[in-house]
Amino acid sequence: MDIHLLNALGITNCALFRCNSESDIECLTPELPWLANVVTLDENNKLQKKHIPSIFLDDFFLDADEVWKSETSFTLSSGYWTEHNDSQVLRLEALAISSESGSRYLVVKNVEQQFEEKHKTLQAARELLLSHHEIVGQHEYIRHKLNGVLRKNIRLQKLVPPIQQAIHNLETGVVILDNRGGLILDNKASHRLLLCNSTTPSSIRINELLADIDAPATFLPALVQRKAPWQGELYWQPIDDYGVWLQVTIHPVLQGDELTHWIYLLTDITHIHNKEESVLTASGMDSLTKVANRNLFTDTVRRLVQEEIAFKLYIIDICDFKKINESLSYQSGDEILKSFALRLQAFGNSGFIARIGSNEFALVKREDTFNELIGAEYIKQLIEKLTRTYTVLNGSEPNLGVNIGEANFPQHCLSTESLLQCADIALQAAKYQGRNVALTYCEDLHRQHHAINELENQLRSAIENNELKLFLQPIVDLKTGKIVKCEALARWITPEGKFISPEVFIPLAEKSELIFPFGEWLINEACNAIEALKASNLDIRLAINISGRQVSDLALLNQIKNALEDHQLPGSNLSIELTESVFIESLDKVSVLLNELRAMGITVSIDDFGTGFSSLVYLKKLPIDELKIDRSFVSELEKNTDDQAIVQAILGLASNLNIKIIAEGIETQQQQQFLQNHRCAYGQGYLYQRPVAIPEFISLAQKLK
Amino acid sequence: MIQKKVCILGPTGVGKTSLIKQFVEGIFSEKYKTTIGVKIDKKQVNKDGRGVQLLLWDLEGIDRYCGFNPRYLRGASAYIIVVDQTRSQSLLEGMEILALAREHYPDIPAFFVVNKTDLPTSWHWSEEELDSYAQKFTSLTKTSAKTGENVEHLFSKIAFW
Repeated sequence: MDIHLLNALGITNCALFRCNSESDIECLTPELPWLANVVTLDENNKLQKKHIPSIFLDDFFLDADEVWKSETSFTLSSGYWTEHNDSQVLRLEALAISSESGSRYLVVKNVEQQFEEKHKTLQAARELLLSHHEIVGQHEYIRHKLNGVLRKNIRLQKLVPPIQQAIHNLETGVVILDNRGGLILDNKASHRLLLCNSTTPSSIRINELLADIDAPATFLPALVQRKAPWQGELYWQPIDDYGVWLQVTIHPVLQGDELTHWIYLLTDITHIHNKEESVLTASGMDSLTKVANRNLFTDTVRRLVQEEIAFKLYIIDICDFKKINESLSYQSGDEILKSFALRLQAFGNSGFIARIGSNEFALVKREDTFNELIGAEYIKQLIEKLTRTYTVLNGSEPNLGVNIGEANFPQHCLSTESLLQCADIALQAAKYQGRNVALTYCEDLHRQHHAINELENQLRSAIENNELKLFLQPIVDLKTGKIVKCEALARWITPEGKFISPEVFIPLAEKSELIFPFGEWLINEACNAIEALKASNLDIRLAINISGRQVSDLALLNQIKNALEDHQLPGSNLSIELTESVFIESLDKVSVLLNELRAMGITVSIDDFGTGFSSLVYLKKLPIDELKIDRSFVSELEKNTDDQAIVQAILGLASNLNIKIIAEGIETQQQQQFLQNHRCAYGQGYLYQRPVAIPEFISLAQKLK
Repeated sequence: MIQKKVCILGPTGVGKTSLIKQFVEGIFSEKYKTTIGVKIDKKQVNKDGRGVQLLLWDLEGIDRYCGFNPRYLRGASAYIIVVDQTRSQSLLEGMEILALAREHYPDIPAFFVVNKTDLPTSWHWSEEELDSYAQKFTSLTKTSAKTGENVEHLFSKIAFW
C-alpha cells in the first residue's frame, strides 16, 4: 500500500527516504509536518546530509551508511529517541534498511504511542525495581552494622539497651543465632514474618525455612568457608493458607576463621512481586522470565506477517520439565526457566524471545538479522548452549534436553496461525525422535503428522469400542515344561481387517494421553482373562506391562485395586512388568507403588533387563520378584560368547539376590539347553508358543497340564 | 566553537536526567520519571574566555529491561557513570557498566558521579573503599541534582578536561 495513504489514514506516521547513493537520499514523504525538526530537505526533496538538525539522526547515519554498503538484507534500528524544541516533543525511531534487490531505505517513525505504552510499563516496573533495591540496601546496611556490633560483643547480652531496642523496632525481620543455631536475639518483625509463637520460636522457623527451600547440608558451611553472606528472594509457604515472598540475607559472623553467630534478615516483598507480575503481564511480559508472554508473541508474529518480513520461527520445548520440577522442587524449576530464558536471549541476540508455555519458548528471528551462523550450524549451537549444565540453589546440576520445531515465513506458510501450526508440527515430530532433536517443517512432516493424528483417532476409537484383543503367551518352567505364568499382549486388528503392530500403536499411545485409557482397558481385560483361565481350572498368574507414564499416574493403583475387586480376584493372580527406564527419574515414586502392589499380592518383573539403565541399586531397594532377560541376549546365545557371559552374570546376580529369571525370546533347543544348564528358572518364546487368543491359550494350557 | 559529546550512563533511578535538567535548566523535580531511549541536550560552558558546547546524551538506565548499547558512546569525548549513594546496589551496577564501557572504549575518559548527596548515605562502604572504586575512573565527583551541589563544577570539569 502507498506510504502516503497509510500516513494519511493514520495507520503509520513515518518518513520514508530512498537512498540512491551515499549523497543522494530522496525523501518520499516530504509533506510530514514534523519532518523539519529532524532533517533538512532541498527543493528536490533531497536530504541535506550536512545539515541534519537532529544530532541523534546525524550520528545514526554512520551506522546507516554501513548497512547500505552491505550486499545482504539487513535492517538496523536506532532505538527510540526524543527530539524536542520549545513547542514540540517528538518520540522517534529510525530504521536503516538494505535489501538483497539493492534497494536502500531510511525510515524515521514517529512512535509516540508505542513510546507512551513502553514508558507506562517501564515506569511502573522500575519503581518496583527501586523499591526492591531499597530493601536490598537496607539489608546490606543492617548486615554490615550488626556484623560490626557482634564482632565487638561476642556475648550479645553486653549489647547496650539502645542497640537492642533499635533492633527490636526494625521493620526488617532480624534473627541472630549462635554458632550452634541457638536463639540469641530476634525482633517483632521476624515473629510476624516467620509465624512464631510460644512453641515455635524463630530459631526453629529458620531451620524449617532452610529445609523448605531444599538448602543442602553444605549450604551454611559453604558460607562460613567463603566468609560471605547469601542474599536472595524466596517463596515460602509454611502452611496451606500462608505464602510469602521473602527477601532473605544470611550472614555468618566470624572472629578470624571461627564462626560466632548467624544473622538472618527477612523482609516481606510479596507486594512487589505481585505488582511486578501484574505490570509485566499487562505489558505482554512473562513475570518469571521477563521475556515476552504468549500474547505478545502472537502479536509480534502477526505484525511480521502483515508487514511481509521474512523470518524464522523456532519453538523450543524443554524435555520432561515436569520431572525436573518434581525431582528438584518447583523453585529450582523456576530458577532453571529464568536461566534458560537468559541463555536464549543471549544467543538469539537481535531475535524476539517469548515464553509461550510452561516449558515452551519461542525465538523469532528476522532473516536479515542472521550473520554467518545459519541453518543447521545455528541450531546445533543453540541446542549446545541451551543444554549446558544448569546450577541451581540446592546445588543440583541438572542437564536438560530440548526439542526444536522450525517454520519459516513466507517459505512455509502465509498466515500467522498456519505458521504457528507448522512450527508445532515440526516440534511434535522432533519430540517423537527423542531429546535434542530439531526439525524444520516440510511437507513430509505434515503428512506424517496427519497420519499420526489419524492413527491416534483410530486407536482412541478402538479402545473405546473394545476393538483391541488380548493375546496370551505362556511362560514355562524350564525344568518341567509346565506353564507357570503368562504374559498378556494387546493386539489390534481394525474393523477393515488390517493388523496394526503393537510396535506402532503402543509407542503412539505412550506419546499421547491414550496410554491412560489403554492401561485401564488392559487391566480390565487382564482380569477378564484371569476369570476365563480360572473357569477352565487354570490357576496361573497373568502379567501385564505398565509404562513409565502410567507409573507416574496416581490413578493407576486404584484402577488395579478396583478391577481386582470388581472381578473378585486376589492380587496373587496378577503380575506387572516394568522396564528399567521407569526407575531413572522416579525411583522413590516407583518404590511406593511397588510396595503397595506387593502388599496386595501382586508380583513385579523387570522387563527387557540388561538393555537400559541396569543400575543394581534398584534391585536391592525395590521389591522385585523376577527379571526378564531381554531377547537380544538370548537370540544368539548359541554362538555369541559375550551374550553367554552376560546371561551367566545376570543369572548369578539374580541367584544371589533371590530373584527369579525369565529368559525371553527362546526359539531353539540349544538356547533352552544353555539356559537350563545355567539354572535359569523360566522361559518364554516361540519355542513354546506364540501369543495366541485366550481360547487357544486355554486349550494349549489344558493339554500341557 | 568546540563541541563535545558526553554520555550519561548508569543504573535506573540514580538521577541521570535530573543532573542534566539541573545543569541545563536549573530545575529539579522530586518525581521519578524513567527515561526511554535517548534524549540529547545542549549547553555551552565558558571558562577563561573559552566556550565549549556540550552535547549531553541522556541514556536510558541500564537494568534488566534495557541493556548497554555501546553504539551510543561512539565519538564521545567523555562519559559519566552516575550512582546513587542511597542505594548500594547502584554502585555495584555502576561498576559493571564501567567494565562494559571500558571493553568497547578503553580510552574515553570516564567520570564517576556519586549523586544524591543531599540524602544520608545508606551504603556501608567507607570513604577508602569508595576511593578504591573511584581509582578506576578519571575522576570522582559527589553531586546533588536537587541542591545543585557540584553539578556545574562537574560539567565544567568535563568540558575543559
